[in-house]
Amino acid sequence: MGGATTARSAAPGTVRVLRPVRVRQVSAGLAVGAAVAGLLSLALSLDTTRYFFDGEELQAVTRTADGSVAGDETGAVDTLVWTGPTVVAVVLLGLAALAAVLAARTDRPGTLGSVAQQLAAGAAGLLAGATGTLVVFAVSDVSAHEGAEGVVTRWGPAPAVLLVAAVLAAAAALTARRGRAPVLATIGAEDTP
Amino acid sequence: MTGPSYWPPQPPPGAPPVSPPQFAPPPFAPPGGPGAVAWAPGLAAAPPALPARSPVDVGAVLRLVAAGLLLLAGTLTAIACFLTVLTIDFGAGDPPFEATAWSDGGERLPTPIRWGIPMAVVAAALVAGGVLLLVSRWSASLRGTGTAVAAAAVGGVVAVGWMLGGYVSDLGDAIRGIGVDPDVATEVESGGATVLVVVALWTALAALVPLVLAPVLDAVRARAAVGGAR
Repeated sequence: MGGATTARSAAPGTVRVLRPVRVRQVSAGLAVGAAVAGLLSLALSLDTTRYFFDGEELQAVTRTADGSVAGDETGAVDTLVWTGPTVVAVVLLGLAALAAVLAARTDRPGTLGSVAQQLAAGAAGLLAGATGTLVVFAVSDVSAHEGAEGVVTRWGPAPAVLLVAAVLAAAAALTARRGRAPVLATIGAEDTP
Repeated sequence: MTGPSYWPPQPPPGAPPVSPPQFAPPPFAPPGGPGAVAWAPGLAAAPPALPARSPVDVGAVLRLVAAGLLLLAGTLTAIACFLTVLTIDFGAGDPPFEATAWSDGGERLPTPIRWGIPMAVVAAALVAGGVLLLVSRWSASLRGTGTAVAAAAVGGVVAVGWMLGGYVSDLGDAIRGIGVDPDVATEVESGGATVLVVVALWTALAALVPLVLAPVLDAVRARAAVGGAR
């Protein structure tokens, strides 16, 4: 912010030129980052089970976001889908980023800042809930073949990426109403002390 | 200036002392007794103005409604943690497979799917959001925090309810699809936990309506107050 001053009220007959509030612009960036991470999780796997025989991999079964199981023709009996909550969260985060950018143009956060905060908080809740549900499911799934000969189940990256998205969304919610606008110049201030 | 001083006025020498003027009572009593004074002809006096009735703070009432719905959703989710998530009846006289939020009776996996963990966290968040909204009735500084926590809690219960409901539904479809014996009807039934979580999901979503409307009505009320003050 440098040496720029901030002021809540302008003197009568003057117009203040404000620099957009950086914290709220950062909030918009965090929301966009969370949305990108959420979208990325849709392309990643929950876990992968590999079947070996004599040290050679016979088959690899991977759980994906839409509930399908890649690599197994018969499919798994139980599936978990995280597409719906994640897509809703991404949409909310996009709207939150837009609201935060608009809120950065005024000194006070106002209604747009509140909207950005609540949208980002809702998206953070969605992503956190999806992450928690994925984790408890994957813990059980990974444990299914513990100690089994020739079968190994490894975690996929989707839960970690969803967790990152949830943290970014929470940070966006925390910063959506912070900051004050620095005054770059005041027009018509010659007559005012 | 020479000579006698005329200020303050002094009685001339030799004059009798003058006593200060005394209050003289009216020579007649007003009609109706000494208490009645408004007997002069003219327009009747206007009735005294009633004190201004304070308008109902609809925003605060809506926040209370949202808080109640969130507390209800949190209670339902907390109860769901102790109920059965799903039951699979394989028929043929076999005992049904039951999975609760913390264990499964059939010991299908070394580590059962512990749905109760996200459900308990979401229940706590819903209760926290409801309590914060209640407290914000008396502490306006908590209003923003309460609304944000409530929004996050609603998001959490939507995610958990959506994924759990989808899991049970997909499992039923899959088991019916791979029926081992066509003569044996394998049934997957949603347990009380699944039903309660889905009900909590819709209850929490319903809480969003008053939560969104409350600040709008606050702004309308503030604008009306400013207009009335002008």
